[in-house]
Amino acid sequence: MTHTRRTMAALLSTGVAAALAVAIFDRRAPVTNLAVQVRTALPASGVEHPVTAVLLQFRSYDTLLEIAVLLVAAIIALALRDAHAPQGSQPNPALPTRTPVLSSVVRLLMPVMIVTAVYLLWAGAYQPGGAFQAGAVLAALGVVWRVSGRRLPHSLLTRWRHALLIAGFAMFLVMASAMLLFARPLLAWPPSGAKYVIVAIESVLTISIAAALLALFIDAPDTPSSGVAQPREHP
Amino acid sequence: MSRELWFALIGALLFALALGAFLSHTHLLRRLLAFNIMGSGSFLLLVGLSQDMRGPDPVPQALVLTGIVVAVASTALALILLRRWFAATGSTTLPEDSAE
Repeated sequence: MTHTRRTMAALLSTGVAAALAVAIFDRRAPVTNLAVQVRTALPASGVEHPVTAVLLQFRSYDTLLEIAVLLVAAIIALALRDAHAPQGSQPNPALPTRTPVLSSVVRLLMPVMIVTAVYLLWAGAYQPGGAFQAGAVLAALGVVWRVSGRRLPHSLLTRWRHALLIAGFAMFLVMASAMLLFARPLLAWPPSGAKYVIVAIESVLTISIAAALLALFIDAPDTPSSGVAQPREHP
Repeated sequence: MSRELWFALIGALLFALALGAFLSHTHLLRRLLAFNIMGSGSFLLLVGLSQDMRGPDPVPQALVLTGIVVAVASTALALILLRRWFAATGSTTLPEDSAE
């Protein structure tokens, strides 16, 4: 049975590879040059880096839905939490986390990572960087903090958690629909204030992205303490 | 052959290899890894093909960046589901696959 499965998989993937290769070599010439269009519209976008301009100005609908996807993933992670597991950040007692080297490294890394995140956020306006990179660094800080056996601040895990998770999507949506009040299309920032709108949205997005990524890590169900899980009886 | 076209071909190869791995393995973690590599292959294909002979194009780059964020989130979610599945059943495969 497994042998048949392997043969079928090999045949199918060879076929897909051949089809893709044919499609790559026998493709039509593109009719529009998006790079030129972006370059023409860049001065009016409010930012200097073309990728940031595409993400938050020309195709900001994608970014709005992207943060919505992150929020949905975090909500599902919260819903799938083990109801009997202790709330908040409980260090795993099986891990040797209370070592002096690890604690000092984390203490030294914390300010550096926060500064790096703020720098990446700011750099997104004129060079590679932006909200996701900054949020990923902040989330990594939370992961390192947690892995080193420290507790995250309690209020961050209870009272503020939902606010932090939803802030990015909520603010983006409010900003997007506020444009309708000024008789502009959805997500069409005013040319004069585009820079400030983009900076404001990116800052809040950073925090929400970090919160969502961290929630996906923290709320992962614990591995069963024994090596092999015992099937749980259904009531 | 330009460098971008080479990227696109490598992307197509990665996609096909990962598709084979996805179909031939039943362990859910292996499937998740294969699925991620399929995603990386399609990102490489998208960026490489759209920039072939035309220089950097920010639009596909931004699309791929968005795709990477969604891929990270969905991978983390799949891992959570996998751990719940393992905690609930003690199995790392789906019932229809473990019948083999």
